[in-house]
Amino acid sequence: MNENQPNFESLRRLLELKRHETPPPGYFNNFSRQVMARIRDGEAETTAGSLFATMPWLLKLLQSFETKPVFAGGFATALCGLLLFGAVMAQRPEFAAQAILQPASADVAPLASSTATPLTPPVNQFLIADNSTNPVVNFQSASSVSFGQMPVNAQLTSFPVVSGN
Amino acid sequence: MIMAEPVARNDSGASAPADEEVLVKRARAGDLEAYDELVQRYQERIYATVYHMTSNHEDANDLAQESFIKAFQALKSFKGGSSFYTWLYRIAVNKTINFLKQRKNRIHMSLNDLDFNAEHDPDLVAFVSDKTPRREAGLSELQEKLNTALMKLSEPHRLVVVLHDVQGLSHEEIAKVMDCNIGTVRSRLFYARQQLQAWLSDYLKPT
Repeated sequence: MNENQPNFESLRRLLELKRHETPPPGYFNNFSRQVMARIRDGEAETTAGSLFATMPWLLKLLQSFETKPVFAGGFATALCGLLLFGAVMAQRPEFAAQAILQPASADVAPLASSTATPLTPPVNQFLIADNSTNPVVNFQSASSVSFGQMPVNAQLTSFPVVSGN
Repeated sequence: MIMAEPVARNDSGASAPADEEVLVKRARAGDLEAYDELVQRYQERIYATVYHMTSNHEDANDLAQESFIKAFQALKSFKGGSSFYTWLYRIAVNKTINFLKQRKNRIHMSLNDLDFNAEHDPDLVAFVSDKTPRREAGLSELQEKLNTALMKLSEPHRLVVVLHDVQGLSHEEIAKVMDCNIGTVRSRLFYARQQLQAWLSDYLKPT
């Protein structure tokens, strides 16, 4: 191999010409900036990708919009219809009031009355006060209270005054 | 500016600067400023390697950028078994070889201009002097012939020549980058030089 070295030396010198091939001036000034911008873009895409990963139906929906414009048109029509329906309903206050304020239909009422009987022990057994430092509670209404909804009413109280003399 | 100078030993391999480890750690934690510094540190060498492998500036630009992006994405898998520099080189080389395999038989050279120093390099001046067999050959023609000859080599042979004779990496460093033993590097280098010498005989000075 050594006897070939002088020949390779000439070749090696010719190969040094490659070192003088340089990119356009200022090329490396922007290189790292471009790389970092692409990395940031990639991270943003990854965030969007994770959103689609958690909601694959959303991705399928968007893809179907791209491949079949009929779907996009149908979706837009349905959305417009929904908006129109909402607008029309909003202009009929009596309907809106009925729908919202009418509490229950007739078949629901018996069920409501049957549930009026408290299943839990009376709350007042936990609330009996034996000294004046406890808050004043209306115990009569406490039995109808359920799940921590405790009405607190102010009452007049009289404290016995003991005369020291 | 001379691109792809032989690699300074303090920048490569085991003797990498201590702050490189810190930068890599910070970059692994998602610090983009630290990674930006690493990119700036190695951008010229990575670009040069890819450029000399492809002989195409646009391809080299894309591949070099993609190499840095891929390296950032894969930083968490970087165990530190080799230096960051070697690891980065390996990513760039693999990416380039995959690219070249895909675009086989569609070689389109887009060569960078020679810098001002080329005309004043005594070795290169000698190639276009009276001693050169093809006296009419100018530097640009030499550049084109040289690149054409390099592109005739297989990717592993071209890579060895580029890393050793153009970029100045040692056999050991090339073996690490190419993930092969030093003997393979030497034999590939010898074969590649023989081939190049045969193809460029008209432009080489007789010994």
